[in-house]
Amino acid sequence: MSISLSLRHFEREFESATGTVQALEDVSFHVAPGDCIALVGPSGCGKSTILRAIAGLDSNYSGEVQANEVAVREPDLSRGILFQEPRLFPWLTVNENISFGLRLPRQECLRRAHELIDLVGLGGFEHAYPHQLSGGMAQRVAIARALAPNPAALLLDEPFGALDAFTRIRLQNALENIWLARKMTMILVTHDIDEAIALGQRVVILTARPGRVSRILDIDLPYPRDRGSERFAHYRRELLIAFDLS
Amino acid sequence: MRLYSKTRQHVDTEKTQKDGGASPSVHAGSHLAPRKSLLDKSRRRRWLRTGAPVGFILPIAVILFWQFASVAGWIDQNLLPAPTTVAATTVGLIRDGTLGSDLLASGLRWIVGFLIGGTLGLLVGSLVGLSRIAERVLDTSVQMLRTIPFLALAPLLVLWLGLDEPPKITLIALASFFPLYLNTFAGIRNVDRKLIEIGQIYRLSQPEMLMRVILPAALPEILTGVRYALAVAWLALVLAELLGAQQGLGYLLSEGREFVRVDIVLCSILIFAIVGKLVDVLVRGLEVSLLRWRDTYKG
Repeated sequence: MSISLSLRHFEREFESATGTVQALEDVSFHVAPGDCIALVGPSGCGKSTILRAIAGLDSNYSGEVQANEVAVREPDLSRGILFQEPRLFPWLTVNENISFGLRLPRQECLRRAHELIDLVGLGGFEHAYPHQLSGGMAQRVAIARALAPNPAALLLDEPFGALDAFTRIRLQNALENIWLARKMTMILVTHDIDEAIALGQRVVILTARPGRVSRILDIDLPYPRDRGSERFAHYRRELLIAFDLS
Repeated sequence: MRLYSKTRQHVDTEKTQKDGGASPSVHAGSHLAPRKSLLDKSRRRRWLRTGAPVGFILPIAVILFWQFASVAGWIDQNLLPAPTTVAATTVGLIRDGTLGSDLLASGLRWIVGFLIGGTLGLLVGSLVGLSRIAERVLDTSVQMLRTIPFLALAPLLVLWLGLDEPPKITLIALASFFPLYLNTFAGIRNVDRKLIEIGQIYRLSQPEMLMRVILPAALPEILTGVRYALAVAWLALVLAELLGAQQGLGYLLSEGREFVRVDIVLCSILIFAIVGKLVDVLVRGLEVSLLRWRDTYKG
């Protein structure tokens, strides 16, 4: 039940005080159903813009954006999205946040929320309000909420960028397990090289201003991936070279 | 207290989580030592926090002095009767039912006026907050009207609407309209766009977005508007009833003035103060229970 996602000749301009800025230029890539790719690039290269277009939150682009070979026009629950901030509704409890927007009977909502709370390891916090949670826990709730409608694709916009290193790795592992179990199509936007290698089957490398695909790197490592391994280090080196950092 | 222990709990959870997800556990002991001074301070100030009626110390002292000065003969009893006299008058007015019926008449005017003006303020404020077209069409006019002191409209309302209930209700409604209009408008415009996006992702319809995202997010400001509107409406009520009423607290007040019964004037002022305060406490309680999800500075 996963879907393919693809971009063809995607371009996006932004109006600024000094004139028009070409943010992205001729970006094309394809993600097969159930695949996970990472989108890496320096800040300001338009990674998030791509994701917002796939989510259906932005339509001021030229080119094509397709989900399952059908043009994306508006948001759809089949494409879940996770932002850098948890974006929880502060007036709703953890339970209510997770089942927000599910058009299902109350019992079914509760059952699903309960299952997801277990999945992200937040048992005991069902009735807590977001301000009572730490950053890592709030992001776990956001993951659960994004998974609640059983999305066929999950779009991740630097989801762990604001967390400390330990929490980040823990959540990356949790996400890896969820993906292995559910096999939804994933696009992970990140500027964390290790995160890209740990999760992506392929890494799409973007250049800055205008953003363009400079290279697509296949990560040929079995899951679950061992961050300490020789080959992990090899890919890390490759990516650092690609970014002129080595 | 429940809230405090939850917060404490989550700090520990993040610390003890070594794999994907650990169950919450509490190790309160390790945290006690460094927090000792903080706890001491909170214990010292507990009498302040647990709602000991320290706010009444000053008014009671003033009344005691006033009584003493009256008995000692320092004050002309025709200009400022003793507290005991005022109390006796008040009891008398309660006994013969005057105060009850006046209070009822005033309360009705207040509530009806507030409901009409407040509802309109909420509706127009929402409309202007939600639609930029409505903002451009309406906001300038409303802001212009707002600068007119509503008291200045009183003579006009009497000329247009007569001396009966309509001008009074209108005046009270006008007074309640603006606080709710302004706060609803500002509250809606302050809603985090990122939360609206979540609503879009869930494909909420316009009314759903309003009811489930925008209004809850704007609720703190709207409730501030409600409190302020009730207070201003209370002021408008006095003026409206001084314009000429057959019943009500304002009527009692003007009657007291006409017959030079300072004790009656003081009694009605006292009732104004008590009812105003009671309603404020009520709305504040409502605020606390509706907004317990907020994490704000509590002083």
